[in-house]
Amino acid sequence: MAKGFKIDLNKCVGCHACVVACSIENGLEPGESWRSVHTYNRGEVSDIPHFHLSLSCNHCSDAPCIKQCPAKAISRNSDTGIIEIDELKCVGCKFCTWVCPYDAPKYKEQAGVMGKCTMCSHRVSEDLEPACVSVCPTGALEFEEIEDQVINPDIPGFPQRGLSPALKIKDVDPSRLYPEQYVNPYPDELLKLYGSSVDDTSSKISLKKEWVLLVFTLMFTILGGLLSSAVFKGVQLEPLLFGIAGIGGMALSSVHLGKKFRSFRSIFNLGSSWLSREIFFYSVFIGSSLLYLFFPDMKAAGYSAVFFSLISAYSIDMLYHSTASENPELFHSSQITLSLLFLIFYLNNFIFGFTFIAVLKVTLYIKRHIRREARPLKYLFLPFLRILFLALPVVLIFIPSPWFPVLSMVFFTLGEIIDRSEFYIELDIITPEKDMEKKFQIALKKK
Amino acid sequence: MKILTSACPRDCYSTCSFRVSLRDGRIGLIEPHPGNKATGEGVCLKGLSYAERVYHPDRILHPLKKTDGTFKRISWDEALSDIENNIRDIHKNYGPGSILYYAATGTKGILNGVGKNFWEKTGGCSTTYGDLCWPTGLEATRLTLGDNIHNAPWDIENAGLIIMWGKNGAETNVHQMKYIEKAQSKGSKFIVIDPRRTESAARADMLISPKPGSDGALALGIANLLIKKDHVDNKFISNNVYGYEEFRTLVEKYSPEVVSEITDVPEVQIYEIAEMIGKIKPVTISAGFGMQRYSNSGQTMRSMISLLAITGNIGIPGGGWVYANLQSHIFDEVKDPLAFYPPEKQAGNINYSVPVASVAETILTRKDPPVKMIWVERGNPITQNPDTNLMIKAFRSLNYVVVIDQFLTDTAREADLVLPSKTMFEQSDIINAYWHSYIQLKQKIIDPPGEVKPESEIYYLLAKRMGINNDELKGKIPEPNDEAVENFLKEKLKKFPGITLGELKKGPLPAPGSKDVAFDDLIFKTPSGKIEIYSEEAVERWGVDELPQYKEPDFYKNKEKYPFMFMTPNTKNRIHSQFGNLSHISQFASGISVFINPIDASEKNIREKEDVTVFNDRGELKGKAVFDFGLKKGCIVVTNGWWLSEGGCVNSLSEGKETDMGYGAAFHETMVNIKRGG
Repeated sequence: MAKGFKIDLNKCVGCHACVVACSIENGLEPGESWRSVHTYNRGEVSDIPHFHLSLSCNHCSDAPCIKQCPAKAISRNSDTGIIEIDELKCVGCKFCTWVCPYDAPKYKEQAGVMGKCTMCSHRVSEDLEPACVSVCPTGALEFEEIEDQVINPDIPGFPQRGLSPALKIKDVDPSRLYPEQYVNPYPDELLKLYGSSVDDTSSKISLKKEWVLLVFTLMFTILGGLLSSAVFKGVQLEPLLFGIAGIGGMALSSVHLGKKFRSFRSIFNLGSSWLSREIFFYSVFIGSSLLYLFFPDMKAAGYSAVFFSLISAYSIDMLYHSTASENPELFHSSQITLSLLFLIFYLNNFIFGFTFIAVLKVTLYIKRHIRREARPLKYLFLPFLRILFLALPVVLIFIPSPWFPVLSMVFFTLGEIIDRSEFYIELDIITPEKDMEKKFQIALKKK
Repeated sequence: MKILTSACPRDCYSTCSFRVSLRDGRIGLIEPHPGNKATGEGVCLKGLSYAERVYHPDRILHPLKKTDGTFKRISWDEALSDIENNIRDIHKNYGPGSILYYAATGTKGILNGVGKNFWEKTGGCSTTYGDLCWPTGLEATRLTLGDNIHNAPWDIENAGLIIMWGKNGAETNVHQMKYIEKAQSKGSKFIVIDPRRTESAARADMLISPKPGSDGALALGIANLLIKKDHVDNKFISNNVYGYEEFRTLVEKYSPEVVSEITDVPEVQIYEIAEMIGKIKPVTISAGFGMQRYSNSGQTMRSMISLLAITGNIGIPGGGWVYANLQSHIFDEVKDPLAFYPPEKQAGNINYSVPVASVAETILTRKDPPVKMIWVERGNPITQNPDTNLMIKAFRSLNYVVVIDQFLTDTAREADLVLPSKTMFEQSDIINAYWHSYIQLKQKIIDPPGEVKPESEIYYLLAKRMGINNDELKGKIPEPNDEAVENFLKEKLKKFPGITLGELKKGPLPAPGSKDVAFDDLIFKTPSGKIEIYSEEAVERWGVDELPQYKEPDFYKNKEKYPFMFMTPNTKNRIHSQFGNLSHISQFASGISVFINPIDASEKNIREKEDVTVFNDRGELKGKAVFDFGLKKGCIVVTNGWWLSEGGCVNSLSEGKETDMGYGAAFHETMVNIKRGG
């Protein structure tokens, strides 16, 4: 049985020695430590416990980071069970930070690669404890054999996703949850106001950071649709323009890589990484598209392009589905596969097909909005537009006009931008910090 | 890689033993030394951050002289000439008494004494008496128990009831928490008394939050119930307590109702804590330092000790008064707090004439002799002494200011000449402690970087320039080399055959004669030989009542104009003003937070994270409002140690005045108001 960390919430006083020791031992910049201390009930609201949860990598048995790393840079050491990142293989795509619910992989700004807790294997091999354990002044952090064990699912700050983390958490003793104290009663209004102000943990995925991906996925959808119209309807496309757009899209989505010259490694993990698959299938799609556009006689290349456009659309959807997101739905209105199918049907005049997809998309879209908390009416303007932008092309196709096809494409694109933007805004990666905040809000509401 | 033994010389309870790793000549990870039973479990983030501090780009590596308002690098030769000329000028024009030698507690070590030796050899100086930190509690303890010793740190595990009173061990003495948790897991009860729900209170059974400055009344109220319910140890009292009958009469008027009114603690809690102290044994009270920086706090501390005396909780395992454990102070001829007091007759040429609580005022007003020059080492009086604005004015009124420091602190910025100072790794020294009783060697591990010279070397070179010959310096100031320093230390160790430098290089050694249970022999070095709840010496020396009377602290009077009590507790991130400038530390606290009870905040229309200004007649401090639901209503908290260059410091609001005993500073008596906007 492999060794792992044990945290005793009764002993930890949030001193942060573990965080600093990790940085110093592993030569990390302050703020890039592989260990973090998450604090529950920072504001000391009475009758709610206050405690700290010190977390690093849990070296999960079923680790999504290994599976999803496109460059095969993350692996498990078969001797020690420790999950290691090979800095020479890492491309710095940060996708592992999207799939880990414990926020374990940390980006090294200067090196442009990811790093994470190695359990101080260099120390452990010399019979020393990991640095964080060695310096813990209260003995809250220990390093010991981890048997199969169950962690209380209610512990704030430890989201459970069935990954079998190699970690023990000793929960706060029920008799020591919080001190008996007499405080001036807080007005409900105040707690409500406080509840709304503490929820400011920053999101890993946001539209501001991810607009490049939004542009890329939209462009891909349009290219896929156009290509199908070339294959099935013989519409003339300019191969050069298509190539520039297709290859440009790829280049655009790799600008954020920490190690651009290693980007070829991104397709090394076709076996399990949806990111690898997406990049690979997309490349095949662009490749066969260009082959077909330059040599229209090669029908097989055209069919292959259509086929691979759908496969890569599905890969993109699966990629987002495989993240540690708060709403891990595969089936939603801004799914790329649906959008691409709509466009293929639409541009090839398959009325039943695109009407069906449009209705499906609108249904899913409305469903998503109903699930949200009630908001003032003005926020319904964008959803209204989004539905309108999908309905208009469906109607306009029946009215013959030289302008309407172009206009329809514009409407479709605008609608997709709204839908996809909302998707990125809502796609929130769960982190210990967010999990704590969520559970704290629930505790506040109970008060 | 090499691993070397050392010990942390900061003014901190824990005074950890270190195992320092040296990788390619650089300080790396610092780990606990298991030879120190009190701190062997781990080290704190500050200790770890030495790896950054030593090599910090802002470190001062050569002398700096201020010309036209900016600092310019000068050579040691120029720096020493500059000092020599200024000292000679002042000697000629005003006399040596116009030089104020100001040394604080930034670093421990017996070599610190060479400073005083230097001034003694060169004609003398004025210096401070009293202490900013803890003398009031020390004096209260000395008057009551006869000595400042307490049970070993790990003994708290044996307590049935632990009361952490005005102390936040989780942040200021983190190693204590291990033993408290051990006690709790065995079923002991744990009470925290603090106006804040501190980190230490997280796992406590009860939190009692009295109004700051009213703790004395709370103690007397508890005593009232203990006596009324006959929860006292009559046998212990008759054998070991002096003045019980008088005390009994005194506490009669402190009924729960009266005390609840004074302290704003609900009566039910006074009953509860009295019940627990009465029924559970043994009881340990671990009291903090902040609480004894009020005008009434000597008596407050005495009343708290009285609770242990009347219940027989002194001199037993798991029981007692944990305030200061000076068992390792074996090198001092006079033990604290007496060492802080001005000699009854000034002997020699060092004039202990400046009360540390009012350094600024003395500089500005003293005429005979006037203060013309200040020499500051191991201290940062601009931000850490009371009344920062007055202190700045005082510094700017001086002819010549010399500051020795590692960084350009707010005090160093006021200097005419800044000299670089060593870190703990750059000169060997022997240090004591005040929580555990180990003697430790703070070992030299690396050479000082740049042109840094340890203070002893500066003094040596300066003494030579001032014409002091080698014979006179013998045993007073070591020659500037490692061997001479070791010999100097060996000389000091001669009296203690069990302690050698060689052994100390391996690890800490318990001070000779130190014991785990203080007062186990029930010998109390008081005039009566007993625990003196009633102290005639208190009257003679300090003019307070023989009994630990509760007197309302002075600052409540300012409530009309400034309705909030201002608290400035220490955090885990700093030792006073040290460490906050390191990025390994500032990542956890960047920017000044003003903690306020949300009800108070809403009355002032203050929203969270909003810019606010805290102010009174002496100054102001700006920061971001942070809601603290665990903070007593009517209190505002800004943690201690911020630099003016970080946006402000807490002592801009405090006042320089003395406590009721021990020549301490009552600078926690601060009333303020708060307003929106920065």
